[in-house]
Amino acid sequence: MWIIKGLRKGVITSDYPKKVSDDELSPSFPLKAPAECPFGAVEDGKFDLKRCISCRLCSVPFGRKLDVDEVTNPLNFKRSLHVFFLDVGTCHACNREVAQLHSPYYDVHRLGIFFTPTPKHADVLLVAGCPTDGMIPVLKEAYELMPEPKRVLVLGACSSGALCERKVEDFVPVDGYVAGCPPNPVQIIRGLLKMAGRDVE
Amino acid sequence: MKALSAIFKKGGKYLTVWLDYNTGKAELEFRDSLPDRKIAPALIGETGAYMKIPPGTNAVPLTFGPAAGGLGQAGAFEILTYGERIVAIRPVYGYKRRGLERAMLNRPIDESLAVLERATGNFAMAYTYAFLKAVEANPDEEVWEVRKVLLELERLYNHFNAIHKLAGAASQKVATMHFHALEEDVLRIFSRLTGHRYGFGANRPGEVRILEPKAMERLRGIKEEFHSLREELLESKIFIDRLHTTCRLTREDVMELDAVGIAARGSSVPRDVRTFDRFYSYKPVTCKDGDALARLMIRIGEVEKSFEIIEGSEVRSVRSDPSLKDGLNLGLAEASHGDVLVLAELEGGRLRWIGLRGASRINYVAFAKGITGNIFTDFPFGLESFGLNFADADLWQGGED
Repeated sequence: MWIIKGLRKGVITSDYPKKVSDDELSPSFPLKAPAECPFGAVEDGKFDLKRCISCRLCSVPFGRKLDVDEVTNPLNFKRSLHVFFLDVGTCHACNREVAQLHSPYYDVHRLGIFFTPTPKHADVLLVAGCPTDGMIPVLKEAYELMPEPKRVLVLGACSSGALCERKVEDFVPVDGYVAGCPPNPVQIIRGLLKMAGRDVE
Repeated sequence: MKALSAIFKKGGKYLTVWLDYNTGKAELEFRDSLPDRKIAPALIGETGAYMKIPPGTNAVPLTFGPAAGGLGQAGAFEILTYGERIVAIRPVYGYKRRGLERAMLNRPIDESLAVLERATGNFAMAYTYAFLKAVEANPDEEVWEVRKVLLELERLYNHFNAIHKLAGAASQKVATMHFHALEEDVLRIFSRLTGHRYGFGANRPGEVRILEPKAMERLRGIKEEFHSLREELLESKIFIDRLHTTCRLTREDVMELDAVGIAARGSSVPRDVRTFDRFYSYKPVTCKDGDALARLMIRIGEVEKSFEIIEGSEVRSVRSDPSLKDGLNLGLAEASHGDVLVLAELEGGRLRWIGLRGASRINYVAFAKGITGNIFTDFPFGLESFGLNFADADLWQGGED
């Protein structure tokens, strides 16, 4: 009986944003700024977290970190948020992490975050991947189709130009990013809540 | 059982890789033209030839993707449909051509591996396994034993993901959530074991890096839960009926299209590179019906086998000789969807040329063959039963032709 199995399992959903557990964050984020990076995350001596692919080949300590985002232009919604996810050339790991937002562990509906099948109903365009030739027109069109007010949140290092020649901001205005390769589901939720103008602390 | 496994372009010629799945013997051949095999165009990324429009048809072509909600990834299918019958279909490759293969070249090999892991994130263990198989000069048994466990763990979460998606397509809402949670459970084990949810950074030349071996203890609970969920899921006649006879591939289709992995084994063709991998002792799980249900049953059987393999091994950090072989060398690994092939050319310990062939590049064509004649509502059951993705299908080669 499915219902018995569910009751036996109990509630497994994350307590985030009230608190976050070690299981929800992988220990692969740099805790200090490295002096150099083989993949271009350090330029002119300045470390750019959003381009870090967490390869752990540099000589800084790595660990768990929730605060890996920056939202420069949040909405003032406070409540629900509708999101259209667009893959413009990922390795599929970001897709899996975004899909996990609907799993019982993260269940973003509890936070009023809903994914839409079309950009016409979306407040936020959530973009992941290196923009490829085939996806650049699709990216621009998806942005054009969104109603105002609209925002773009990019996910992962490659959408910010790591390992790629292009980045998403070359084609549409970007209002925030969540770093990581790929970002963990709670980090994505944090970015979305911040984009909605909601309290994440 | 010799199959055409990959085609690259090198030195102005086509470089073909033929693989005998009985012995594991691979043959590399340079040719001026494509070989006369049905899968040959797909292996160089061209799928137009697979769209056969029946003469006099009233069917209407429809492009599904690359941003349509159903696929959830940058890829597309061109579908010829009349009402709801799928008359003809082909996968459209190229939306995920990122040129990542070039980013692997002429770097220290650790860096090349870091890029390779990001070629197809959910098959990272398989690609690094195949790459290191190709390039390590003195493979160490203990190192490979741990790599094998990581590969089987990757298989577990990918199989759970495929079952979650199949259950979701059949609106088995509770079952789909249970399997999605199981997938996350395995990703959390990966995170503790390797420091990364997809195992990036664990496989290095002559070395496997494990941070927290105790995380493997959690697997016992996952195994018990899987057994319980499996019994419940297979009792659902509604679910089973949706998969039975859907997207059927015959044994002849598999042989004609050189299909690999789950697609082949579901049609009683035992293609599994673990059978001739020296670090495995493995007999493939097969099923003869060739439909989506057969592929589900193979996944369920393979989950069981993965648990057995993992339980028989100790997971810990191991280091050995990191020296590498120069020249052009081939490596294979059996990922959850089928085998992945890496052809790597090293010079002075650095990668000068690389060819990658994911199982998705071949098996999307097999899926297209199987789903032809089915109705459109069968599409997700057929597609998810193969467990493919376009990031994998769009990988090809980097370096001078």
